[in-house]
Amino acid sequence: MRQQNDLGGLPAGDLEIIDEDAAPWAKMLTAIHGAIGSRGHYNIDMMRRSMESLPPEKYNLPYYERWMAGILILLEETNLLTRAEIDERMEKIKAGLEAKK
Amino acid sequence: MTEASPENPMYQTGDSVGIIVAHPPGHRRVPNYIKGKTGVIERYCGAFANPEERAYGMQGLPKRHLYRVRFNQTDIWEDYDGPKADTLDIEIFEHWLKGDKS
Amino acid sequence: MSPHQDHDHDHGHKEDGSPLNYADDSRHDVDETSHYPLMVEAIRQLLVEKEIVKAGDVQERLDFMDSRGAEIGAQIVVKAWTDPDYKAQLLKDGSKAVEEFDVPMGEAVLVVVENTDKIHNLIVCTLCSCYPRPILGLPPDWYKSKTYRSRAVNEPRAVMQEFGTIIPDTVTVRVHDSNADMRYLVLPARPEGTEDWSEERLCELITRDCLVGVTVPSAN
Repeated sequence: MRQQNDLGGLPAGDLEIIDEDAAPWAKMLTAIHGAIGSRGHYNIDMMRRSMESLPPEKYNLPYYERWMAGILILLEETNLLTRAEIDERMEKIKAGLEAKK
Repeated sequence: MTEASPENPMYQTGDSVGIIVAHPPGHRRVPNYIKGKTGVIERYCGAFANPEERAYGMQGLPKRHLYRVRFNQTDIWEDYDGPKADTLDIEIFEHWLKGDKS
Repeated sequence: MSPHQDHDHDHGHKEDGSPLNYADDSRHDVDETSHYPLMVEAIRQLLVEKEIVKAGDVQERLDFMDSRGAEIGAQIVVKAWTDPDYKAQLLKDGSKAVEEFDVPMGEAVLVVVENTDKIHNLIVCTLCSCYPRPILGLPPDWYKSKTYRSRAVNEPRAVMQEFGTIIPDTVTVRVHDSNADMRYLVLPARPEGTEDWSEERLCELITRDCLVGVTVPSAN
């Protein structure tokens, strides 16, 4: 009955004391997420719930990849952006980048 | 059940409280490790909209009372390997508490 | 496999085929730099075009993120160390007391917990990774890791030992699981022998790690 994010007290190995600067895309995602939230489209509780609802293989992604998965759910849920729109724009950007090569 | 209102927190600093054992579906912020344990109200934190409802786009109103509850680590973990005086503090909403008069 | 695997790379497998256990925020072994930056840029463009967010607001937030860090935390601590009235205010109402350092707590409530010769505080968020971002910025990978989130509550002393910190048994370790609207900052104890030190020198003692509680400042 334990939710997948409920980790307190579970057995775990040695800490890996990693502290790397977040990738630029991760920082940008954080900034965008904050901007959306500040407009009232969704809130921190919805974001937490969204991530908790991810299938385990997505919950176990690295931190910002997990965030992306959670945000994609909320973007659809709140009718802001669909996955199809995002995919289409990604193709367009990619084509543009490749045309420059 | 006493209706929670900003003027009426049910508990005060020093009260002994137990965490309810319940496993409702949905977004909850009570870790499994603390369910069923008994602690002491360390302070009243204020009234907040219920995150369990806000998580689904609802307002979460009326606000619920939030408390910081302090536990002895040896009361939480059977095999706690540290001094008996070690403690753990966590925030719990009023509807997850029951008064402990023992 | 979910139907959305078309855009998902095959994450999380070691060369020998065994799965990596992510959620530890370790370095990415698979080159996915093209996918996520592309997706973020697509989202950014679309949201700005649809006027759901303003480009300027996003940039401001990026700049703000970069401006946060241990330095601000250190300034707050040094003021508390050198000004008893400020320390009292900080412990009573953290959010209000840090306003003067340009820290907008917003809806979250800042609780500053004091280390003394009898008490040592350690902060964790077992359910996600809540962290005092308006002060310290982005949390480090280890703070967000499954290992820290699992063990900080039931093995705090062992966890701190992995940072080289040994808290004597005569000192109570107090763990704070920040699972609600409170955000925590540890006010480390001022090391002995620093009575004559300048504020600048004191600031240098205070690292991000001691504001989370996994280390203590040392004057050595």
